[in-house]
Amino acid sequence: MGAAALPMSVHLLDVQGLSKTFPLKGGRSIRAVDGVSFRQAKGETIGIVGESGCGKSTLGRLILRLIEPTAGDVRFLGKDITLLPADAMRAMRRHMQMIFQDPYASLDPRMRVGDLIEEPLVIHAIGTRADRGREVARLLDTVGLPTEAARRYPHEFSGGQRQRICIARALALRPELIVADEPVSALDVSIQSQVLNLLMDLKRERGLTYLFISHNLAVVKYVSDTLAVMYLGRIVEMGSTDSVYADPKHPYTQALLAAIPEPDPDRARDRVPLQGELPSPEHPPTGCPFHPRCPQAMDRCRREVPLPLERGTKERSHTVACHLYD
Amino acid sequence: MALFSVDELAVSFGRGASRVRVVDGVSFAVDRGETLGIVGESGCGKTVTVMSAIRLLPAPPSHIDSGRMSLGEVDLRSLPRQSLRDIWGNRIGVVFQDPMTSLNPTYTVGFQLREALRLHRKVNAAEAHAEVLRMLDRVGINAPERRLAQYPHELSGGLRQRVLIAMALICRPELLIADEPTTALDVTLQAQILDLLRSLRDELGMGIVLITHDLGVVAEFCDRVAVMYAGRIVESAAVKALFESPRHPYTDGLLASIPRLATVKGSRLPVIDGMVPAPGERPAGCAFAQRCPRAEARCREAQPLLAGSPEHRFACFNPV
Ligand SMILES: Nc1ncnc2c1ncn2[C@@H]1O[C@H](COP(=O)(O)OP(=O)(O)OP(=O)(O)O)[C@@H](O)[C@H]1O
Ligand SMILES: Nc1ncnc2c1ncn2[C@@H]1O[C@H](COP(=O)(O)OP(=O)(O)OP(=O)(O)O)[C@@H](O)[C@H]1O
Ligand code: SF4
Ligand code: SF4
Ligand SMILES: [Mg+2]
Ligand SMILES: [Mg+2]
Repeated sequence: MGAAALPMSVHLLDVQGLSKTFPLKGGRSIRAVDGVSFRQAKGETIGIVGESGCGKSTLGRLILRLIEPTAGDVRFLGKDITLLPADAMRAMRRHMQMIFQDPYASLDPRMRVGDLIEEPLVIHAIGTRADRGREVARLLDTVGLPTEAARRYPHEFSGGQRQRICIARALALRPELIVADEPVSALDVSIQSQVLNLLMDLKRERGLTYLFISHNLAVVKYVSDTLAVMYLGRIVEMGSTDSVYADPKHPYTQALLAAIPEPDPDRARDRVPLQGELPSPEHPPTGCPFHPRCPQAMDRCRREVPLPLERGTKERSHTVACHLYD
Repeated sequence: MALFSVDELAVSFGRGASRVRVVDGVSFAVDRGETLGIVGESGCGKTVTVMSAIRLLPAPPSHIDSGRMSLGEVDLRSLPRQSLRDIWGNRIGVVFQDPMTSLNPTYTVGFQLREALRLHRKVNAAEAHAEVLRMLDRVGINAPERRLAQYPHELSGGLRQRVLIAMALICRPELLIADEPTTALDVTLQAQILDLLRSLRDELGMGIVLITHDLGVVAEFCDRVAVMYAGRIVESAAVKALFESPRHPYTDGLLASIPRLATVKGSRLPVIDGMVPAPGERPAGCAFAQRCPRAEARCREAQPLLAGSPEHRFACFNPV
């Protein structure tokens, strides 16, 4: 993204041409992620937004190599992790963790909270038992839970507290990168801000790098330095969060921003909603994937796939994949 | 006279010692052509309130302990079941929180819509067919003929929600109850569905009760709003008044804590500490007292009642 001159070490993550095709029954298939490329600096939070089914979670899982890509590569700290053998990958995974949307489903209900948080340390054979006990206490404190929480079970906690437990567990191995997939979506409104504050504190204190997946555009704007807008498996616009919100270039990004319901009754209500729905990724449209819904579609949009082009400034990258800009 | 009014409704679950009051002293009214939003966190009693009010919540296990509910001149509380069946789906349309409550997976969309109509209207098969097509078209479904033969699971989320709305509106009700009708949808689809409801409301002149936990949806779509907390309405007002000058500390805290587009990146968000008390564990006084930054001694002793002006009511001893 216009940053090819930067030394390799600046980027924690370098994703190039990443694609994932899921085979379906009867020889059909779905291209869930389609040629995604971007780089992420250490300490940078990238927000990923887009409609349900556009491939956000699949992208997150590909980056952690929880699933194997169909094409493309993922360099983490300069190493192509898609080529790592299983044991080297396991060791690498210490540095990359995931937080899931549903804090209820991602914690084994039969395990005590202390054991849940200690488990990753046990798996990677880190420290003595006593060391690990102290580390669990420290992690609980970090996420704002009392030490005695270690002896209790997940069901004794509220949704927000359970998400804190998941975060403590993800932090246990002191990862560099955290993929947070809709980390507050399942939480009540009055609890969401507690968890968002915690994530931001951890970023400041530990220099964490987040890939933050969400469909809530106000939340993403609040947490992200850089924003990537996905549509049908592709990144259609990417740039510094401020410039994308201030000057959305892609017609899809414009529609998405216009559709956000803001808790402000004075905000103009006369937006024109985007028509139609996300087409099935099984039968993606030809040319620009957005053309059947795009109010500005032209003839060539039906034939030619627009490629991401740099339309930002020297200081601030802002790429857009749309024929209106090439 | 209001189209739909609920007065001092109280609902509990369970029997004997395990009986728990989940909704207490709830009152509200909706006029024709008006939209009332009911907001509150998960478990605060939104669904129980509204479904009990129209007697659609199975009883037992629920029990209406007190309250008067009426639709126009009809007293819903005392109405026998048979007469209620003439009202549900006819004068009152309902979009349920769980779509599969109203859609049967084993019948086609067309069959279910026709039956919903013929339950209340004396129409022949051809008339029913025509009316169903008209309604599907009205809710923005392209090529409705093709959809008639499909089963609910064959539809996308957005289409299914449109079918649910068509089902609720097929008899052109006076009142529409919509329980989280857009929660499962993306923002772009949500905007489409809300626009659709708005234009149908204006066309049919219906009153709408919209249940949601999304204050953004309330701001965009509702005329008035009632905020629920732990089984009670703690504040109710016209939308503008509520968002501009919330009086209850819970409403105030909630509005402050949501990130908005204008929120400065990385700044600390105000939080409401603690969590909602479970129905069986609500304290004696104000249910918000444990979390409230303005709590005083009396808040823990007595229950604050709704006061203020009829246009803006709040239940708080020490309002903002
Ligand atoms: N294991 C799988 N097998 C087949 N198809 C899959 C699989 N996982 C995901 N898909 C499909 O890939 C596409 C992208 O899914 P993905 O879960 O990444 O979307 P998403 O953007 O995270 O959506 P949401 O916002 O609903 O979580 C969807 O069409 C989905 O149905
Ligand atoms: N069948 C039932 N038996 C016992 N308790 C119930 C039953 N149905 C609901 N409740 C309780 O009543 C309270 C209110 O539930 P209700 O479904 O009205 O909440 P809600 O505000 O609609 O929440 P949500 O936003 O999650 O839909 C909850 O604490 C719930 O646990
Ligand atoms: S390429 Fe064409 S169809 Fe695609 S977003 Fe741009 S104008 Fe619209
Ligand atoms: S009554 Fe007291 S505790 Fe309850 S909201 Fe008002 S100030 Fe807070
Ligand atoms: Mg997902
Ligand atoms: Mg509900």
